[in-house]
Amino acid sequence: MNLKPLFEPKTMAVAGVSLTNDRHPANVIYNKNRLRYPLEVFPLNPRGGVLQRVPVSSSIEGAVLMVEAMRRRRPC
Amino acid sequence: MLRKEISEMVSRSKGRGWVLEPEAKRLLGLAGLDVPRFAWAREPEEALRFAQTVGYPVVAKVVSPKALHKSDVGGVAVGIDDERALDQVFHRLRAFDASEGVLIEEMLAGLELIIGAKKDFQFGPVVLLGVGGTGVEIYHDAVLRMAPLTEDDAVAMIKGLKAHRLLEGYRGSKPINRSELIRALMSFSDLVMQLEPTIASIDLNPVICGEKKCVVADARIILAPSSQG
Repeated sequence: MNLKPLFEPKTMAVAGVSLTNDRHPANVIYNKNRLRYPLEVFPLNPRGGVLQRVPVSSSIEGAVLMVEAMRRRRPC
Repeated sequence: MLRKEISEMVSRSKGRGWVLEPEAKRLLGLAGLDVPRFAWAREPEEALRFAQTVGYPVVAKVVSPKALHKSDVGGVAVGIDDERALDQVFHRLRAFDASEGVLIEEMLAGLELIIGAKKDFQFGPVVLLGVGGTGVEIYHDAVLRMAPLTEDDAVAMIKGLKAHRLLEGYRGSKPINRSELIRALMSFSDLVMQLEPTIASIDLNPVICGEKKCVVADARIILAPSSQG
């Protein structure tokens, strides 16, 4: 079984980030992964919006579209 | 990329495990942070000459590899207001064990904050902002963010302090220069990221903030064990 996508993901979505409380646990997880690991991290919040100048997806489908768009720009 | 001068200062300190305060202040100045006017005096004449240039009162601190916590060993004298007092203090501090001179600085007034950094096992380099000075361990009013900081982080850190109203001006006291504090935090964050492989922690305590600027009055840079000689 190939566990590489689990332990070495190229992308990650963090659901439940807060646009108003940067100490929310989801924001801490989002920031840690964005700043410390070599992967693209996508924030999710049903209200959408912008977090630290990054667009926030309002749905998982929206995040998937972002990942696909990124993959097209950057073929593996 | 680490400036050559900063690199050399860190290299010189590897055998000791921490950076002597005069060199730490030079390093911070090169990194864009404000430090008080200071002189590293080996002879009393140098100390007196400097004090005449900047004006009294001045602060004197022992410079010794054996005095990491200078206040704890009586190695700091503040409010020195004339030549005779400075001469006496100079000779006392110069007689300290392994003294490499005396740091003479202009005196500052303002709100005392602490800015610090350490390498956390889980989160990597983190930056701290808090209400500082000797009361830092009493007030326990500090906020943390992962480096590198964004300007939004710096703003949020200031707002996140319980004592943030003191920074905004309270009961007649003037507000501090918030832009300068943000600039200091951003410069510090950049420095932390540059020094990250070589440091264990950096403490700037106190950082004295007033209407015009935020100045680092004391600095302690501790090197990571792996980068020590």
